[in-house]
Amino acid sequence: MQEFPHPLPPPDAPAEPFADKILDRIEKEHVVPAPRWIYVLPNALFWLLWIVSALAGAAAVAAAAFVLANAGWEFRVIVYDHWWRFMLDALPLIWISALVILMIAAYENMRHTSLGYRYPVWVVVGLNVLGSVVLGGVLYAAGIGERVEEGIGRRIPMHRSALSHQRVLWINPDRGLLAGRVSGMTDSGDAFLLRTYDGNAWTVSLINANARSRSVAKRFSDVRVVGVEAVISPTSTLPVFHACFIFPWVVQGMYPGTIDADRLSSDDLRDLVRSEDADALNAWPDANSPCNDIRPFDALWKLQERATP
Amino acid sequence: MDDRLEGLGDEDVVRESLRHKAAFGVLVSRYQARLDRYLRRLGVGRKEDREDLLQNVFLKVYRNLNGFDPRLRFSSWIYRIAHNETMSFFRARRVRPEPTPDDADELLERVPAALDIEADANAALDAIRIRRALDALEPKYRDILVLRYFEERAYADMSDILRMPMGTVATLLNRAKKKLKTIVAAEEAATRARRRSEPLL
Repeated sequence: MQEFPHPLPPPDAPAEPFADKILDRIEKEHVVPAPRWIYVLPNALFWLLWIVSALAGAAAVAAAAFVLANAGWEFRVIVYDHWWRFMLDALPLIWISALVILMIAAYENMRHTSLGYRYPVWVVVGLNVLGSVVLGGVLYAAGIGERVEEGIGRRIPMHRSALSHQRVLWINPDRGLLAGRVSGMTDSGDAFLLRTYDGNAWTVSLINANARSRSVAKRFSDVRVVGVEAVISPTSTLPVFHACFIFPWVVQGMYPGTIDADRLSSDDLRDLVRSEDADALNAWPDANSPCNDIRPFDALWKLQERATP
Repeated sequence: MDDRLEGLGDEDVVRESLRHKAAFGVLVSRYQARLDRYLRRLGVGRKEDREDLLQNVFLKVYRNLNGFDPRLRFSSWIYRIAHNETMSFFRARRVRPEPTPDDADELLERVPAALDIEADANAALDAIRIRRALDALEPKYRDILVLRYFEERAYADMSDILRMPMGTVATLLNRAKKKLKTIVAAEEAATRARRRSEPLL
């Protein structure tokens, strides 16, 4: 049966103009225009969310830059057996994933603004990524990357922050690696006390280390040590480690005010170097040195020349 | 009041409508016939349905007058509301758009040249082919062809009506034209095959 949604008018009644019908309905149903804030507020919220997404993206870029800068690129041949294992550790996958999600969120927020739909995906996403990278670079330089990675990163389940990861890799005496804070040195300069980042203490012998390594131990508070774990004698109170190469532990992109490795000025360090016997500076360990078996020896030697001013 | 308003642009009439309800009647009069044709082209076949829909469209327009962004053309904005209300209507009734009415002249005038379709000797057959092809299209392709070739909207307008970037509009339009051509060609091939198989009198 056919529907008759409208009551039939009398046969001779003139048809009501459509405009009048609408105005009548507006009157009878008390239709009123919705207030302006109903449209302004959501639009403003979407813009705000877009800005927040973009800023969070920049923070993710800064954190990713921090992770990459402190991945230990120069030490990869020492610490890793395979390059792909290093890449897996070095790539800041968590921050890259966060950036992707944030860029999608930024695009969706932009799209829901009044005229946001007019812009193609590649323009919106491209500008967001570019903006995040540029701002992320600024934030990294200001040390915010470190704060984000170390502050937020350590709270992400199953994620180890960049510096924590490096510390875990470098506290591996079986593999000849130690890292920590220099907390005391003998008068002769032949040994120092190293408090490793896992809370232990080691006596690090400098007998087999060359002058560059000794200068690092004297000048920097945080160091990485490549050497050989000594056989512990019954009379030792602390485990002993023979240092072959010592490198300063410098954190790139650090937040200002965070405790960093102490450094003398480069002038002081040059004086120190000039005061040493030039041959001794580059002396090879003697035939009996445990450092002879350190691998990769040549790479370590070259690295020390580059890493130590 | 109507005489004064007749000479004003849509955007000015919108402003006036927010102050005086009666001014809204001018906008209704301006757009009633156009939107009625648009709804018909979208596939709302029954006059009663179109009238109901049109009333809903204009009431929605009035309710959302404060949401009209003057950076848009008013015609794009009202077409957007009409388009969305029509799609909601189809979804609510769970029906497909009805076949487009037999406006052969309009079909032949607007579609073949744009699609580079080979004209049949019999114009009536041509119109039937094109009409069937349009009806067979998916709604999103049909909508874009209706906007472009029947409503004669510019790309910028279509972008605002459908809320998508102009690049996406262009891509959708190209796909719609290709699909329509394919359907028309298939229809033409089927017609030729039928003619060949018909016994000679």
